[in-house]
Amino acid sequence: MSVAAIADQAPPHISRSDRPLVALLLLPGLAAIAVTFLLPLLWLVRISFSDAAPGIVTGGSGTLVNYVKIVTDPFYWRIAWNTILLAAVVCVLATTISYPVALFLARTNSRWRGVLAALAIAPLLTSTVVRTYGWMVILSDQGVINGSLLWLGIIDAPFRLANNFTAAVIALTEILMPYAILAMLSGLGRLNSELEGAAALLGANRWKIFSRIILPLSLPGIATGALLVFVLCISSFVTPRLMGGGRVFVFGTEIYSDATATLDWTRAAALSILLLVLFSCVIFIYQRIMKSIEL
Amino acid sequence: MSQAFVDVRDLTKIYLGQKVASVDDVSFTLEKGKMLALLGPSGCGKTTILRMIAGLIEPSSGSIIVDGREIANVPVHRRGIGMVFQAYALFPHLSVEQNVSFGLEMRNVPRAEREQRVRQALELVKLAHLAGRRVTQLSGGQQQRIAIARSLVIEPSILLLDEPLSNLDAKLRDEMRSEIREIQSRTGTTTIFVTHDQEEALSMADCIAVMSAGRIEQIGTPQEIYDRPATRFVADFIGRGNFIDGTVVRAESGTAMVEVPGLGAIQVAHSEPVGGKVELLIRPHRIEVGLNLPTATNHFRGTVREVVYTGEMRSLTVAVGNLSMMVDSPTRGAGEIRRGDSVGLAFAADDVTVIVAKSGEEVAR
Repeated sequence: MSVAAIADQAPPHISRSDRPLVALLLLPGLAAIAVTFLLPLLWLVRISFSDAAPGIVTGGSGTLVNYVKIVTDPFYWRIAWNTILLAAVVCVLATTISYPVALFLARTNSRWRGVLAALAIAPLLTSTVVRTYGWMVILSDQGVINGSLLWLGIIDAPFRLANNFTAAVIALTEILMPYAILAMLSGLGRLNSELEGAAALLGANRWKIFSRIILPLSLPGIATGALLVFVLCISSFVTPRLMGGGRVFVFGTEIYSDATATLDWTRAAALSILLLVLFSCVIFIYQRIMKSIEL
Repeated sequence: MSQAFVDVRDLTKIYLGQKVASVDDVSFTLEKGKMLALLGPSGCGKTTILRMIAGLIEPSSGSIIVDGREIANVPVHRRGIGMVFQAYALFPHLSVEQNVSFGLEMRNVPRAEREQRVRQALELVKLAHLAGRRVTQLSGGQQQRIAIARSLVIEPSILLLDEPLSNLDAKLRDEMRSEIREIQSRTGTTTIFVTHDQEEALSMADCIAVMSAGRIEQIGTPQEIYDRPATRFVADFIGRGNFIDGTVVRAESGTAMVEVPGLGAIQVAHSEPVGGKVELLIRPHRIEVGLNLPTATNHFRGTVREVVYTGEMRSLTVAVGNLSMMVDSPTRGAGEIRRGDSVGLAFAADDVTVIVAKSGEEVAR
């Protein structure tokens, strides 16, 4: 789950005589990755450097024209900004709301712990599309919230909750929370009640125990949860598209419409590669953060 | 200063949903500056007592008075008690220095004084050179010392140690045993520690409370506990011993004769009512053994069935009548003893402990 957690473990010792066996065991997985991921990715890179006409993927010569067009167009800079803003806001919200839940699940001795943990991640069982439509029902002008407020006479006209940036933020936050909770739970392993007892005996009250012991020890979990939410948010397109009502432009929605509507596959490919670069930057920053907080 | 510094009265803990008390009406006192061992098998309630004193477990009833103050209702962080956890519970995200300094920061001790006291505490445990290290880089023994320093730096009213040596290897254990004892006597901190290891309790504590099933069986100095066990449980739990059943056949003031079937009469240094059923305890090392021993009060002859040589000692199993006796004899003197030899066994009336069976209960005399 956590990149750092995996890196923490000492590599298992593999003796020389085991190597052929290890290679054999790795082969199916490596082959699957190569065929389903690596080859298409290389293909995508190739398309992004191609000057072929829209809708055509073969032929064309190597060129930087797609990248130059994107980088020099202010529209795409706005899209990049939108994407990062959306991801950042959702990341902060989902992490903040998920942390108490994860903390509770990590610390409780209740025999319902397993059930509660399952409930917290149960939303993953339904598809993102279904949950997005669910939020549309709740947030639309005739939806549950506006309907209730109107009926109660608290407001005269419906709030604009749907088809905008706010709607995308609300839906993405809820949709990504289970991922955040899962990732955090795996990162909260270093917490134990003995440490809290030790801190209390040394004179720490509840707040000091939280701020000096629990929170610092939670940071790896929080960072992992935040990374996952951020990355999933950057690459999301269904929810921003449906909840944004065509008014929220992010990388995901733009690549989707280029690939399916305008059929500008070379631009879609170039945008995808740029998104991949953004991913790499985020992962790099995450690893730096983990290195500074991990002991 | 024989006034009780720690006074635990009628302390009881019944865990939720359990019928039997884990700690059952326990009372004891401890003088200032002394070291008490709570000794017993696992599950006897010793750790529960420690945690109730610390404030980590709420007592069902009873009172805990430290230095004249009732602390049972004082929240943990205001008790001013030091505790070293079994797994040390050092804060993994803080350095050695920061760990030790934590308690002082919570007390808002000014920085200069804090630094000085942290340094003194680290010097006390001989680890001043590791101040800047991360605690995760330390060995088990070093972590142990840091945990002790962290507990002592706040100058606690009492220091609690939960199985302090159980996580260390054998050699380190011996070292830390005297180390802890030395630190304790140097700082004069009243200390209570929990252990299941009788040797640890005997060698470190001023005073031992032997526990079984939530109750204190006996409390006394290591010598009292060893030489005059109050109950069969204590006698059995502490050290090895030969237990012999018999009946009192003659009694005078301060002495009695006990008839043991298949062996003969044993003289004991206690007056017991004639006809009473008793159990006698004779420690293996209190029995003198030799090929030719001068005739003494308690003198028997037997045949050596087994010899185990351990360097300093020779552990013998000797068949006497229809009994089998364990005998420890120093390897020096007494000559060569081999399997099958006929040997003489002798012990003084003083060396026999009498445990009286009395309608299910056991009382020592």
